[in-house]
Amino acid sequence: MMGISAKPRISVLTPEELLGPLNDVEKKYAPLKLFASGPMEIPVPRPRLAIIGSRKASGKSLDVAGEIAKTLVKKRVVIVSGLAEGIDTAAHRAAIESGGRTIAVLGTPLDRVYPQKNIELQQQIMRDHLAISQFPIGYPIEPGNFVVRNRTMALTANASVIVEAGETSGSLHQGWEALRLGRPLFIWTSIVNNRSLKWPGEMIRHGALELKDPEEILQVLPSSEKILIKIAR
Amino acid sequence: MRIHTLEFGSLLSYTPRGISDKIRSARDVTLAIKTDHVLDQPPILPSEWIARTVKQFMPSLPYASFLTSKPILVPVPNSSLMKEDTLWVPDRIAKSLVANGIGREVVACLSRAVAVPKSATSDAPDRPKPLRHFETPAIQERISQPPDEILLVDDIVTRGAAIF
Repeated sequence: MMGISAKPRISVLTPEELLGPLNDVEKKYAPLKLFASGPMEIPVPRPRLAIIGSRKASGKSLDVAGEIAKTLVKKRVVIVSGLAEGIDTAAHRAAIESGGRTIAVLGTPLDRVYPQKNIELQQQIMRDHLAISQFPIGYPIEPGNFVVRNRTMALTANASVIVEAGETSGSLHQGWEALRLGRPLFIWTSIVNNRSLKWPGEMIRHGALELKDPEEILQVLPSSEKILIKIAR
Repeated sequence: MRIHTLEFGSLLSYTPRGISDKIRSARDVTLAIKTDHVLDQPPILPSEWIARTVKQFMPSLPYASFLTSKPILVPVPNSSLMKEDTLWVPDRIAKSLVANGIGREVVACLSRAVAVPKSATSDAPDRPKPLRHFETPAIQERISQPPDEILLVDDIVTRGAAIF
């Protein structure tokens, strides 16, 4: 695993500093600290959509991930993903190429890169967007980190979309966490209708939604405006 | 016991259609309620805000007679199945109401045994009818002492099929 060439400038934040106040269900698996690098304003703007899925995705699924990102970026949605190979990379790249904004939630410390082929993409995100990690510099890199990271990504996004995933995909951890948080979880239609997969039906019984058109996501995303209310004393 | 009538009331109403600033704000509040996500200003949980607002405006609410300290509050189950630790907003609103002196206690005696499609995201003809909702909950716990009054608490009501 490679490191990035320049030493990144890192801010140490609590999840509430990054995302705003959290309820007790949201706090349950939230990390104590997050390390952030990039010029995006803090707390991060909303709405935020996570686009996730397989590292070894089909060409068609990569196109779908890109199309969802492009469509949502036009509505000023921040695209969140995990900088992994496949769907994540397609989502980040489409967001950047469409002039949008993106957040990478890493499963490594900020000075490390995985996969190595995404070194330039990670540097670009740290230079122009935002990369976050719950793992401090020097933290050992283990497969379990990526599962924990997926929960943090579910927390970071107002909604998540799984574009393609097998029965053992790490994206399923994020899907279940989004459902636990009560956040909208979409599953792309071709996966829902793939009869060889059991997980989409199980997630739909637990509240996930079939996604046929990226525009449908806009119905469940908050606007960028602050909610100001009057309160009884 | 057969129930012949069911009185109901809602604190707020909103329209999911349209693009005006007011409709956008109403939709944002609705989405915040659905996730019990802390509101921006002042920072307060929507479930707590709802309970405090109900208490504040109780004298002028047409359904004020429901809101005494007597009834037990029964949260309406989500349309989907729920795993342990999953956010359950009607339960959180019910607990906030009791904490604000409305209702005797929360009895989470209903759960969803068979998932039904979400009304809010279904096309009108596909929305589950009241009978479907009636057939799909499971009773988790029996109430030991039959209460004089039961108040069902829900978060966002589309057509009310889950309650009826």
